[in-house]
Amino acid sequence: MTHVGLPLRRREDTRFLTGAARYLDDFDPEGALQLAFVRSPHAHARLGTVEVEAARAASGVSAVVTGADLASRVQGLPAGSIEDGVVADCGHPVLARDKVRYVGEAVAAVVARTRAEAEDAAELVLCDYEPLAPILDVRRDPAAPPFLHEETGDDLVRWTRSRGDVDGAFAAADRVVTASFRIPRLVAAPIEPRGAIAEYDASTDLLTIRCSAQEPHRPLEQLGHVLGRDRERLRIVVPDVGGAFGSKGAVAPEVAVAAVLAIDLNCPVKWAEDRLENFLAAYQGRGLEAEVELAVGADGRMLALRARLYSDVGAYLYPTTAVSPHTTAMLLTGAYAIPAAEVELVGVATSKVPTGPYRGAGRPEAAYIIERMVDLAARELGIDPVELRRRNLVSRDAFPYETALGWVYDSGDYERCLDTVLSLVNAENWDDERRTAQDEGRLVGAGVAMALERCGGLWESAAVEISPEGLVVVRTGSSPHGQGHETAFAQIAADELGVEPDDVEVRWGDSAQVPPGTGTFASRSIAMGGSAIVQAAANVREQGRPVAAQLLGAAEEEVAWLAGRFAVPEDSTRAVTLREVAAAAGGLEAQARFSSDLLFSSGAYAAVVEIDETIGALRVLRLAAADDAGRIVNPLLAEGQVVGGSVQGLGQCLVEEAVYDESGQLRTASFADYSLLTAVEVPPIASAFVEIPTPLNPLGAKGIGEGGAIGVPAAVGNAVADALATKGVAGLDPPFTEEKLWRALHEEE
Amino acid sequence: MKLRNEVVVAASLEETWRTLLDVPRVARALPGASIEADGAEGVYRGTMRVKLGPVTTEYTGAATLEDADEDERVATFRVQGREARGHGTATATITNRLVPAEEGATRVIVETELAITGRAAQFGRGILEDVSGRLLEQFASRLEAEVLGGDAGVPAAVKEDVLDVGSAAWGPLLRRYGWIALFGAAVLGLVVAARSRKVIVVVERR
Repeated sequence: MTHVGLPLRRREDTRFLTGAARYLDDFDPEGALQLAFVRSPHAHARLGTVEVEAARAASGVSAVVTGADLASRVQGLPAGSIEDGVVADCGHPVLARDKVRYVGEAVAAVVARTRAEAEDAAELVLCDYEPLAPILDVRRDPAAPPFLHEETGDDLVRWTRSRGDVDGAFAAADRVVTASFRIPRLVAAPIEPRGAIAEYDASTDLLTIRCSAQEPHRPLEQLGHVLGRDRERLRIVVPDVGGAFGSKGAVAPEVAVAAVLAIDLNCPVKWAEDRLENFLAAYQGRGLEAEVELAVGADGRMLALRARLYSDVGAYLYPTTAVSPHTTAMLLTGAYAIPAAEVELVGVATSKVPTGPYRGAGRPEAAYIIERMVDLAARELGIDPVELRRRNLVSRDAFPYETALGWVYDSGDYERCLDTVLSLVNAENWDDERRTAQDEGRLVGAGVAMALERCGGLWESAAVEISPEGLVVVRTGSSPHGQGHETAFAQIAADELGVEPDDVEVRWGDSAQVPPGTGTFASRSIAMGGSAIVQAAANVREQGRPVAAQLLGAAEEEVAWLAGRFAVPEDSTRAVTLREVAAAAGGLEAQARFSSDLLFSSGAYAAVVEIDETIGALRVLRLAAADDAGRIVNPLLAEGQVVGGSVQGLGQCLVEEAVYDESGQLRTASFADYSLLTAVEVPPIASAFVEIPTPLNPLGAKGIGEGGAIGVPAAVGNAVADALATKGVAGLDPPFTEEKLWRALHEEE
Repeated sequence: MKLRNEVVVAASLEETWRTLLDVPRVARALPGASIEADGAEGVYRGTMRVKLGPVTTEYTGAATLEDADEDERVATFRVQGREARGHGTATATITNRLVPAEEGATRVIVETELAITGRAAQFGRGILEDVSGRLLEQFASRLEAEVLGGDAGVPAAVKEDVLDVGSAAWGPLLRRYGWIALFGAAVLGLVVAARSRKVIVVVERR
């Protein structure tokens, strides 16, 4: 029986729902000291002396450290890199020295018996700040001297690419559509904030860090860099994680402080941040402004795209900060066969917390920009937006398709996704709906958008073991933080090994136990981690084949793997299970490392919205999603990803925005001011899958983790623009708050 | 952040003006503030205790009378404070303009340019703006008593005096958070009743 493709319920939910899961803060090693940070109240200031005597003398305090104390012990986080781009050597420091560059930046750290004592003592640290003007805007005079980083300059990321005859296409174009967009910063807001527990064993010089992270590999590599520590002397253990959404991919610099203190004090040091710290100091997502031009022919063919992107990267770079805007840049031609493109990206330093990947990580920005542009072009040309898409989509027989900007789309059927979503959302009724609404004095709009999800790529590894007693253990380099890896990986392994999913134990998260890997991000776990399991299982089978032949009294080449057993095809009575083989062989164990080029999931999204003209309130009436993530391993989990991603995308449309005031203070630093959607605001979401397997991995699977977050803001943005257009009002950028919509409807003159 | 408020004091322009320039007397009228002269002319040192919900923050700092335009009846104060514990700061430039109102009363137009850093800054602009109106009302009635009653008008600031922004914010909070606030009030009421303690519960930070 095959299990891949079945909607099995998540086996890990028993643990989560009964409170048996153990998150970072559930661990309290004996004698652990607690860490709290002194954080800058200023967005930009020169940092003079930091007086710590009073804090050191406070009750329960073991140590207080400043940036100067750690200078010889740590270096900043690596700044990362992007292909063909220039990324300034401006990695996030562990503790600030000389200057602070955002509100919430850690200046000093206090370790005490309790977190309360540590926080009390942190308040006694006296910092000599000389406030400087904050810089919040990404659009500034390129000739102006740098505000934040005198040494590297404030343009921390630079990337340009021009392919095809862009100028010629614009010169020959029938129409040129021009628009600018602003996508605000968002907060990832996982239920469980960040944290780590560092423990040091002096006898073996082993530093063990339990860390709320997306997987152990990147903390291992990044902390190795920051601490100058050999990876053999470093062990990362990731416990159950209460959400990350990209925000726990790069290690928090605070973890390095816990590590140094654990070594110095020779006792466990725990940092479990509170919600305010998470709002102020965890990296945010998005934050992009764009100026875009699209050249179109009279027949509606898109000829070329030009764009300038300004990414609000914040005060420093995390290793992944440059990745999201680079992804936006590379994906700007979206699902369309646009032959020429020229994109310039600049990541500008601002006195705000840095940005980094957040669910979608550059893809939602790209989808929003190109899909809004397509609708603008449709209006300009008087062509139905759906029809204009059909004329320009990359056709199903064009794969593998290399885009103008140079990425190769592996597989897909974009028009089928579009057809599927139109039928899911009852698009044939849209004209009637709009008319009825208009007659009743209501403002209704509808919009569609294509979603392109760059996923997979790089490599992942897995180990599969069957003990002589028949215990089946899969150890994976991929790591869960809420997605359901244990269930999906057990399904994959069960099919490959001829056992039931319940027989498979999935182990993850401990760098001392799992094989090396790249990480859980970019919707890559099934495609990469799952494929590694498939290959490791195949290696186990190959290992067992000679033993099976012996047991079956056959020659090796006579033995085939049939319906989950080794069998002699000519004689149905001669078959042996892999467990029986393992028992005879004294156990089987094999590893595999799987790598592939990038994969590109795709999808079409649709939204129908209503705006209450009198108060400007936006109500999303329904959403629909048709996703091609290749072969679906577990449709229940996949649909969960679509719905979850859609709701996060909807939050971005309705309410979410990290707001800074003119002095660089974050005004949305609690859930009272930064609201997340609840079930009340979530409309019906219809989801369907179009399964076009990728040829790039044995499962045929692509990724599904981000589709909703990518497609929904673009579809809702188009639907809102559609509704506003009936009143002659131009489209707006999210969040579509009541105030913004009301002003647009009532103050446009 | 710019705040603009108006209050009407039942006192003459001249009386109100004189009181306004007497900074310690003004401070006495300001809930939560205590101020003493620094020695330097026009400079006063003092503390201000602000209670925002369960968090009481004490600011220490200096207030300076920057400018007093006798003809135009405009007085400008500059206030700079730092949290006594913690790292937040508050700076304000407060411009008071006096104009005659009906029946011999005086209208005080207060324009405040306020910059707050630290935890208080993260409470959200809405609350601070909503609160400032109520705060000014309290201030006005105490200032009025000060003007009319002279030195004996109000008792010297007591040590426990605190600007309870939480209670001043009650209206706006209720508007914003509706039933949650009501529920909280009900629970608080039950706790207070059960313990037979004073109705005003001041919860110090942590």
